[in-house]
Amino acid sequence: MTNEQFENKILSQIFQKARGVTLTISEKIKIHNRIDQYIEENPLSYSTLQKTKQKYKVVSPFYTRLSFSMKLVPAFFVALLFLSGTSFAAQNTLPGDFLYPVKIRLNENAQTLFSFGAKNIALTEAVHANTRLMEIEKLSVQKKLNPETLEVAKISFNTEALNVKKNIDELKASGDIESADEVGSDFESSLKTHHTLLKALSQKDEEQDLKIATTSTGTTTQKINANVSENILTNITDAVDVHLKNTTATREITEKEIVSSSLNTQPDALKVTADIALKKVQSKINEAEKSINSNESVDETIKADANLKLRQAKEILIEGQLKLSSNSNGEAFTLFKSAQRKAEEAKLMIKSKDEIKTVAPAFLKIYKEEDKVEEASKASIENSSTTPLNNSNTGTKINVDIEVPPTTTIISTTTSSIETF
Amino acid sequence: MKNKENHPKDAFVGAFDLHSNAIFRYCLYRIGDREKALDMSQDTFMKAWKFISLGGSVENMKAFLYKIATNLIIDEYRRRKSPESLDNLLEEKGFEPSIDEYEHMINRLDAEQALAMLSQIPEPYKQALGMRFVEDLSLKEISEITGESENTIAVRIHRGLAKLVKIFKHQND
Repeated sequence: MTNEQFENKILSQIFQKARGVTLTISEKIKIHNRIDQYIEENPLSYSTLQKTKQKYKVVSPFYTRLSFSMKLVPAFFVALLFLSGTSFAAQNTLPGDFLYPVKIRLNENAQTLFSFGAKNIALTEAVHANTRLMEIEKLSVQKKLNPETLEVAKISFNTEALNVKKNIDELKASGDIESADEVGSDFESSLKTHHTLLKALSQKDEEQDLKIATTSTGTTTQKINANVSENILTNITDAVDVHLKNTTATREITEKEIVSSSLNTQPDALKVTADIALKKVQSKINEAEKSINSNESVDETIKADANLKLRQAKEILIEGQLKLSSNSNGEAFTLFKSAQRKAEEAKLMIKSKDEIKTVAPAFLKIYKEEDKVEEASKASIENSSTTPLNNSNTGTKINVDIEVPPTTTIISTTTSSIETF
Repeated sequence: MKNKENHPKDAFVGAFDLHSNAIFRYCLYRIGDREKALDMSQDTFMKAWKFISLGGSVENMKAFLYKIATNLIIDEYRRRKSPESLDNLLEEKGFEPSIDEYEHMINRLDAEQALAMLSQIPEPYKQALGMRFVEDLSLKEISEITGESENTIAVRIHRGLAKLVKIFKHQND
């Protein structure tokens, strides 16, 4: 290794570790609460509220924070628009399209309004959060992503994801922890798939946009095309990662609560819980199989990997069934839930096939790496050992933009963003 | 069960969740004091909300937050004496550890120490370096936040990197 290569390595490690500095949970909550209080003390005026909605290109003269009956107006308006085809036409629009506000403010509002029951509302919000990410991925593949459209989609995704979290918390608070677990588990699978796809798209953009330019002063530089798309995708990927970690943590706690609450009721309640989970995972595997086999336009590589994931789901299912037969009902339940998530991920790979196709090798590589990290982490927890801080096997390549005299130098570093609560 | 609400407060809280760690980190390595950095992070978001509540328009929330934080940092610098240049501390010493020994040193480094190392770099290199490699901002974004040209930022990054290597070697001699 040359001295320069070694110095580059030191620098990349320093930056990678520096990113690990974050607010602690209590610090974040404290600041959050103070800001909440400040917002209460300094509310938006009505005119500012209207202006702020317009800034986000929201056209919704029918949505106000008035009575429930007024909230029905958007739904009726959607019905009228549907008859004229506008609402239907809006359904597949992307941020920046003319009818996009109709999609998110009217169509989706109506969907939430007509979702009855806490669980269905939570599921609808999760669908909306997913849709935001799919829109970003589509725009990235079409090379139409710019900071403004992403900012709107990103804030909307964050809001939706936070709504999902609130709804899951409310389900738990109301005692319906099974529904909370179901919603959280599916949402976790979708966030994981999107996180991997966004990372792969980000890497693809970065590789394509590195180029050399000569400045007007005549100095030769190696210049990064300040890849706005790459940096934006990195930011949204980090945001998804934050929600993924939160959702995973909540789901793990909820599953433990389900097991312990089953143990505290009737003697065979945990077996019943595990049996129900078994039926659900079998149904999910069937759905995933149908999805893979019925879709003829899927790229063979993606199909092969979706099938691999499905095989993993089946293997975990068998492991769970063995535990069930030996009356280790708690472990069986946890394994069935894990199998269900794998099957859901297989299904989602088929759903996002068009976007995954553009970055299939990178996507599948990252997926496998993340699976390995997940397995290693589980094994580490079981063995009560700690993993080393400097894992250099993950992350996004970044390049340095430097201006130098005649000899040009690229400093290529591997970093990863770590955002923790 | 609440139905979906579209109040800008939700969007602002979303922006807080998204950017709070980055803003805090930015304040911390610029100021070097955790408590102060916490207060500044809080003030940044409060000032941002105040601006929005009074009818201000924000096109790019991230850049806007960084600008507010930068101004708060400048105010803090004015209240303090400027940090002494560390150039006179960065003389090469006789003993030069091997690459293996440096590897060992870097492995022992934790997150806080890495950020503290960054905070020892003199301004304005520290700002440029941190924004580029810790916060992953593009040259264009840094230029927009600081008001400096992309060329100037690029030069500061180059010089900042050289200083950071010196600081690392000096601390581990």
